[in-house]
Amino acid sequence: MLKRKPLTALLGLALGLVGPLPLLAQTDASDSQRVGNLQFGNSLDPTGWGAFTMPDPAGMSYLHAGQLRTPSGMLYPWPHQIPDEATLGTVDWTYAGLVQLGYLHTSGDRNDEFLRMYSGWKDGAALGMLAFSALNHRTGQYVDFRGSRISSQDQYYRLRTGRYGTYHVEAFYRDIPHALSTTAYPLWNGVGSTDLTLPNGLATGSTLAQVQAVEANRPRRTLSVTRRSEGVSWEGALSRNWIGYAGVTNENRTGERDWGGPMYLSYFFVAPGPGGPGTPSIPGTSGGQYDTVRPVDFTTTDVNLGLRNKGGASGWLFNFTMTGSFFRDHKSTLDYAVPFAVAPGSTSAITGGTWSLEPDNNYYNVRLEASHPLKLWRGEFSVSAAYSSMRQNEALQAPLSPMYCPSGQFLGTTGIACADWNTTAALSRQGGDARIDSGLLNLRLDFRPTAKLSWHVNLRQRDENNMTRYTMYNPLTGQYGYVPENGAEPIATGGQSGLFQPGSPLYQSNFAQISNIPFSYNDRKTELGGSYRIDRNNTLSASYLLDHQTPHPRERTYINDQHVKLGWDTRAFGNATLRLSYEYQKRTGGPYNPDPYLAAYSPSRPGYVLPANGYTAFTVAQMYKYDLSNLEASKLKAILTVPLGTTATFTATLYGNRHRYGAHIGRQSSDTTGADVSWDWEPTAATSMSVYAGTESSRLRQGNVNDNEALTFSSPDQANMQFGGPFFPYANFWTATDNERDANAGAHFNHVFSPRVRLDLNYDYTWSRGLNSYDYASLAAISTVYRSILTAADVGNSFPANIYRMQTLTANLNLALTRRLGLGLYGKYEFGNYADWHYAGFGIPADLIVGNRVFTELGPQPHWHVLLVGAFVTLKL
Amino acid sequence: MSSMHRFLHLVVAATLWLPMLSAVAADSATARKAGAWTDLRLQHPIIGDVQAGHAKSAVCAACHGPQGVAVAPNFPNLAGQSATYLYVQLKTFKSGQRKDPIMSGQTAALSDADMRNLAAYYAALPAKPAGHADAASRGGRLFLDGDPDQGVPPCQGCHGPTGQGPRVYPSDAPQPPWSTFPRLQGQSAIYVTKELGDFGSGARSGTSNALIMQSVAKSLGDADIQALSAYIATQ
Repeated sequence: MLKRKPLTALLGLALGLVGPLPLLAQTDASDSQRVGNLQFGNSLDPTGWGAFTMPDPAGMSYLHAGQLRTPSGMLYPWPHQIPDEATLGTVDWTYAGLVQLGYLHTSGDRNDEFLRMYSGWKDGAALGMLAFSALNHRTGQYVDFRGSRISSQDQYYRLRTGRYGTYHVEAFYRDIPHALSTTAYPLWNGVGSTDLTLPNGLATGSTLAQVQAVEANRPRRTLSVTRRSEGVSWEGALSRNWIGYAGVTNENRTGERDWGGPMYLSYFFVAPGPGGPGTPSIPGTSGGQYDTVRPVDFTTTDVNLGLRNKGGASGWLFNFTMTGSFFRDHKSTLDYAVPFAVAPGSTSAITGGTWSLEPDNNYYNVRLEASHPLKLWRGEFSVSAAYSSMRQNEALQAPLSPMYCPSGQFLGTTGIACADWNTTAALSRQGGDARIDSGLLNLRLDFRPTAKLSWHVNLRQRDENNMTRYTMYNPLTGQYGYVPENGAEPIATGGQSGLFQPGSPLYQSNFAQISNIPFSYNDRKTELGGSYRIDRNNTLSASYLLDHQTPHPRERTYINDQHVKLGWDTRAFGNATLRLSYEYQKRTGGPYNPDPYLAAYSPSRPGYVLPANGYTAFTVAQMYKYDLSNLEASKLKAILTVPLGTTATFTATLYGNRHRYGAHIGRQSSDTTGADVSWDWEPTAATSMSVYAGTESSRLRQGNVNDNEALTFSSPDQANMQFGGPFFPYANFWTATDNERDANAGAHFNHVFSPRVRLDLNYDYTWSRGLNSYDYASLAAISTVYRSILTAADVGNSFPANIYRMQTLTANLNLALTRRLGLGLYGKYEFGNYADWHYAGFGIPADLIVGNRVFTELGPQPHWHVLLVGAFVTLKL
Repeated sequence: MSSMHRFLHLVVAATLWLPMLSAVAADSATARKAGAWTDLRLQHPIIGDVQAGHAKSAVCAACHGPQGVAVAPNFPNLAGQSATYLYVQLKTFKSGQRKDPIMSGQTAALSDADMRNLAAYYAALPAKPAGHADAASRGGRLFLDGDPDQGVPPCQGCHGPTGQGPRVYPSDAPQPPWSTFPRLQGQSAIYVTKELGDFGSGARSGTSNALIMQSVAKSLGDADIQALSAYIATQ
């Protein structure tokens, strides 16, 4: 619509003005709720204080004219005017209030995914702001309420009351939308529930044409999650120096989102696809991948209780906190029927799959922080200690669904009976009984022996112990492991069962995971640092940190991360402030074991019989995981702040980091370089303006080697883990490079034309370009299933670039009609373009069916234009 | 689409008529607040002719003494006082922003030059000799340290550690108008008590400095004012 009516768009934009009368002052800038939400705002007013931000010409202080600067040289913003107050009841109470009601209208691509990602825009009436505050100047008691509502999915309300210096109580309610896709065409009925069923006309075994025909007529819908949260908190002075606090927050996330649905691989292409050479064929001969939709129905309840001392009991200051976080998933399973047979012509019983969604989780944490001044060198000793425990013990789910693998049926010709795997009797125990405990102790000494010199030493020990032990043992069959891919893999492959059974010729040599891997670690950090002020304009700082980690079971028994940081803060260049920092990091560690997890796999069990050709290499020996590989890194950052007169500031930031990993296989390097510049100008309280621009480029490079699939299961060489050996030959080596470039720029202008007219104009531009390129030693690096249909020219050197560009122009005009009545006009024009090769070829819903694969969403619109206008009447109470 | 057009037309019409409607609207809070007080934050130190000021000082001496030391405790000492402070007080008496039945009349006929000259003359006179104030008294602690629990700032921050005027420190930050802050040392307890009371009640207002003192005075109880006045009188 917008494209056809540019005049309408322009008119709306020109009039897109807004703003309420200045009334209530910002009162909670330094406050924080102990649990839950800290920022209350929405897309109409991200700050949540737009209705009150009329700058006060009186400035920051009656003591001096002009605005002060921060220690780093930035100008503080002009303070907001204190609202006009009226007497309420007795002379001690005063109040101020504001209500802002209006109408919002959206035109253009109103369903665009990026417009709706975190905004619940809806045509109709909206409550821009409802605010009320009252204060007793004699007793210090206060009440403060603030709320805003764009729609039922996008609203917030907050009530605060208390007495300054005595107690504070806060309660809130809010809804935040999160649209994940606005172009979804789910194939299934029952979206949002735990049971996805096939629509009429489809059953397992349908043909590609049949599924496409049904998909072509599926309705479009939006997949989104709404976060509804509410909470209450209290903080009060128990005595002169003791403060207690407590809070409870409850968050419900409801909705639905894209999810998976494995039914084993279906990529065995044997001929060029319909796009010609280089494009995959779509035979749909086995397996299937399903882009399902899962329900989201979570509740997280956070409880916080604490006590702190601010007066120095025997010289000590301390804070003690107990926290509990309780996660509940009200829909803990997802069943989905599949339209394609796992194997063509098969009499397989598998007609669907099942998911076990997130289990309920309890988290407990106790923490004590304390500090005490020291006479030596004006020092301070501080300590913090914490212990936490995370526990899950939900009832476990049967490996296969009795609905899609009913008792009496078998998985193809494998002899695996559904009845042995579709009840919880197939499990070694009925509950998860999972637990991870962690402890933290931090000791720190700070000294300031002279006014110019300060130094510190810090010791931090954090240990995490995963106490979960689970062995996948089926007492019904005596087998270890589990049936993968909802039973589809054994059917499609005719044998790969993922099961191990001692003494069984069929299963005694299977390589199978039979237990969980309880990842744990110990981490000790030792830091020594200090700073020295050379003169009034120069300060040098330096620190050394040794981070010694002993993870287990991992590829290395220990690693040492050493960090050296140097800093120079100077004002030697006129009034400018330059902050320069450099960090060098070097990581080394013990010998690298590429397969430390054997204890969790069948070869470690008694009764395992090594196959004649051994078992397939777990991975290539030279594969170094990036968190444990050797590393040399350097980071440089320079921040220049230049005051321009007394009303403007120029800031420039340059930063970069370089990481070189000691690996050819795995992550090789990652680099980031960026720069930002900004200019801020506040000539008077009535005018402020800023311009900014920034750019960043990053590059991540990794290497890998394709295994020689011809040797798999057929040669003892399949067990050879060496890079350059027969199973991982150099010819199969390949690298991938992820190049990202981002840029952003914008300008903000705010001006009070007269006491009655205020205008805010904002323009923001965001752009990013991502390119995934690759290189390879030979075509042997390409999987054998594609090699037969691809040439080097087909493969090329990169995927198409992914592009994201968005421009937003926002305008607010505030008109004061009388002292109590005002008119606000709001306008937002947003347009952009988007390209992602992952969605290439998806034009209509029928395109979402490709072979034995079912996709759900077409992806964001390639181009979008949206105009949003609103008019609000503001009444000062 | 047509409803969108109608809506936009309404917006256009409303916008075009708004200036006419608002032309009769009352001023907003910004307008009402602006100019309600004299902004001393950019006040520069004044200069005046000491001799000319001396020639004009005969009437003043009747209350403030021939050497600027008051003849009665209800009048302030002027000797050694900041010239800029004195000039600003004379101006605000004349303009009516500071009210006093005597001083309002006395300043009515003074020109701006007269006020500068008188201020310069009294600033040039030797101040009353220092006394022996008890720094450990309640008044001394309030003057030197303030009372953070009550929100009372230390007086010495602006009036100097001995009450003889502010101690100016070098800084690149915007500076307070040091020259407008008065010397307090040796003023009588009766006078200081009255002025703090006038600040607290709002009777003395009209300048940015008075707005500072209003909030200071409101944080002081009667006993604190008495203690502070006694301390200042003995400085």
